[in-house]
Amino acid sequence: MLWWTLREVIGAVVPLAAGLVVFAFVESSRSWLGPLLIALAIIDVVHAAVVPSLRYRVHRWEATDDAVYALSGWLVREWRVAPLSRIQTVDATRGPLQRLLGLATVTVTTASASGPVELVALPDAEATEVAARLTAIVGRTAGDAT
Amino acid sequence: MTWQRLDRKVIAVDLVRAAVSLVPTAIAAGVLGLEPGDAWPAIVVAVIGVLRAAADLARWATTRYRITPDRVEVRSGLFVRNERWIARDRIRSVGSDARLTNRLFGLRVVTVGAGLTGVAGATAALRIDAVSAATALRLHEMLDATAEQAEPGQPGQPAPPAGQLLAKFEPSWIFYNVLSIWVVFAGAGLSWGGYWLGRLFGYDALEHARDLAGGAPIGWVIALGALGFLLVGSAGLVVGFVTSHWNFRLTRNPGVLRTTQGLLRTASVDREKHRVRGFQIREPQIWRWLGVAESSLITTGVSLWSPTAGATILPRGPVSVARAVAADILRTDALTRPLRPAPPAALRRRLVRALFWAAAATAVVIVAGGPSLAWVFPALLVVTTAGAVLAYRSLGHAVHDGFLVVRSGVATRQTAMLRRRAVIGWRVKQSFFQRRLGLATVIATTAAGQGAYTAYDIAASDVADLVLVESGGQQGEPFLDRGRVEGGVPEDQSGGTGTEPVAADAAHTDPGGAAGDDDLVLGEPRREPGDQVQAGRHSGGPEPG
Repeated sequence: MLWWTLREVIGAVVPLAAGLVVFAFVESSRSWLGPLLIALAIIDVVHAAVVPSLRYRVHRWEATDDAVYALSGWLVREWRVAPLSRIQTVDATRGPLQRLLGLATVTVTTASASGPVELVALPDAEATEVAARLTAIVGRTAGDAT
Repeated sequence: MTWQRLDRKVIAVDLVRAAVSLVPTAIAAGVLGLEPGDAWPAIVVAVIGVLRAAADLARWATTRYRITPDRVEVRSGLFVRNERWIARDRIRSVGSDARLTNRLFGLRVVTVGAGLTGVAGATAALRIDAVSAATALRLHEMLDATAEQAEPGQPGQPAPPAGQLLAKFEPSWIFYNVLSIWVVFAGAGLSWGGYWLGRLFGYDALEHARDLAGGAPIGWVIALGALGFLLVGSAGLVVGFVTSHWNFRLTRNPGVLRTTQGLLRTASVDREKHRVRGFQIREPQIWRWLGVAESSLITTGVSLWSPTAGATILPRGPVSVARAVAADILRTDALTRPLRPAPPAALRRRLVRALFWAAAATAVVIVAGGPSLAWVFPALLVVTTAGAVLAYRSLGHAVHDGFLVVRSGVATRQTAMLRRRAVIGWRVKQSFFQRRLGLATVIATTAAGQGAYTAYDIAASDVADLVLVESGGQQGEPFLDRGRVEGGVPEDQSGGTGTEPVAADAAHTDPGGAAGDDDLVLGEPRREPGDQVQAGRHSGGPEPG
């Protein structure tokens, strides 16, 4: 949740900062940019306050011996299933922010172009363990999984 | 099999092509007596033609191919040596075609398609260009999965249309295939080409037409011009379709589905039957009213737009033929059976959307052009409402004979039939409004065709059924369990964010999915309002943590 909040904050601060720089240096833009920036700031604050906790409440995942499940989204909820027998690759990625917080995202892809299952922001050790376990199971399955 | 060369007759073909490319120059210089400066397009054609023939000769001289028990290899290149191999069990299709020049010399180009969709793009297919027709036939037989059963054909005719005939060319198809927006483009292209060809030989068609038109009223001129345009375009399309699809036959041979077609340039494509995962029918609304459809196979490893082993199995034709072929290929009449319509809430959602977009567009128009333009609102509303109704009527899903059938589309109605075992994952989406209306969008992901086939706005209580029925076969267990979990809350229609299937399902998954804070302890129970509906943890798996 902290990670989502930080990400929201960073995502909000960058355009705001850019807007402020323009506001400061380009005088002719001030008349319309001012209200726009205020509106943007309000939206960002509300967004950063509400969305991460919503996401945190909604997001779930599970990896059984048969399949990987993940639920994500806050406005549009999406529930994804990938049977282990159809998994092609398992990736664990850690962004800079995630590394700072000791988190990792595990991405499970199938042979389909759409629908990789993302297990977002697991604790680091758990992500490694899940990735290793899934890989081991996938290694036991024969065929090209299409 | 040792390394083989391409057929010697390729040399003859190249010489003929070089000679043909010299013809325009010869005409320009000899017959018309044009100066080199005026005949430059003909000279460019000649130079390019000769150079290409020379390059092709070099290619012929350096290319070797061989087929081993486990792969197909091709080596080529004069300065840059190039070696390619394809594992035989990754071969998706084997095709052979012949241009007119190739056909005159009894040559065929064999194309071996492997399923590298997107990765290597256009170069994914391996071409052996060219071998004699008899060799092509032998290669076909070697590479087809069940080659030992394939009937030997007469030499000189690769891929003979043996086997069970599923569909063949009908003259009426010409009409269906000409009837399209391409008439305009073809008309434009052909007229432009003809005009320039005329200019090349000093004949200005535009000037001539202007003289002819003379004092005629302008309206007539435009009407006649447009008519002529359409006639030229239609004629072009008729010729194009007939030459490419003449004698079209779709046959079922051992292990493969084979199409052969072509008047001047013959092409035959074998599609491995065991890679076929389903069938798709596209019906743009106007054609739907005429009972016309386009059909394609849903196959693994074949790019949708690949020209070599295209997914398109039939040219545009009557939808009854398409359905019959689908039934023949997949041995099920799932496409002709009724689908389960979407619940009325889906219509409501579309009508509300129609109202919203009409209002939004009207607002924009009024802001831009003043309140006098408010009349556009009813007009827009009629259009968007019609669209909403059409879209709603298209919706439907069903499971018949182990096939998932989904249908949707506004301007183009798409019906896809997908073997349930080919489904390699599920996505269930619910937006805020869908949760309120008790609807859900179910996306079946697959390795074949478009990669995902979507059942839009089905009743939330149907999700369980669909995923449950759909999950038979090898991937059954997890879905069965999950299906029950979802089935436990069919009263979801009333709304309530905590009790929709998805959240209820999540309620007893392992915690930790959103772990981020240091204080989150693994194994901490995490309960949602919907939890009591189905408290039974599914038995399958151990804790991931």
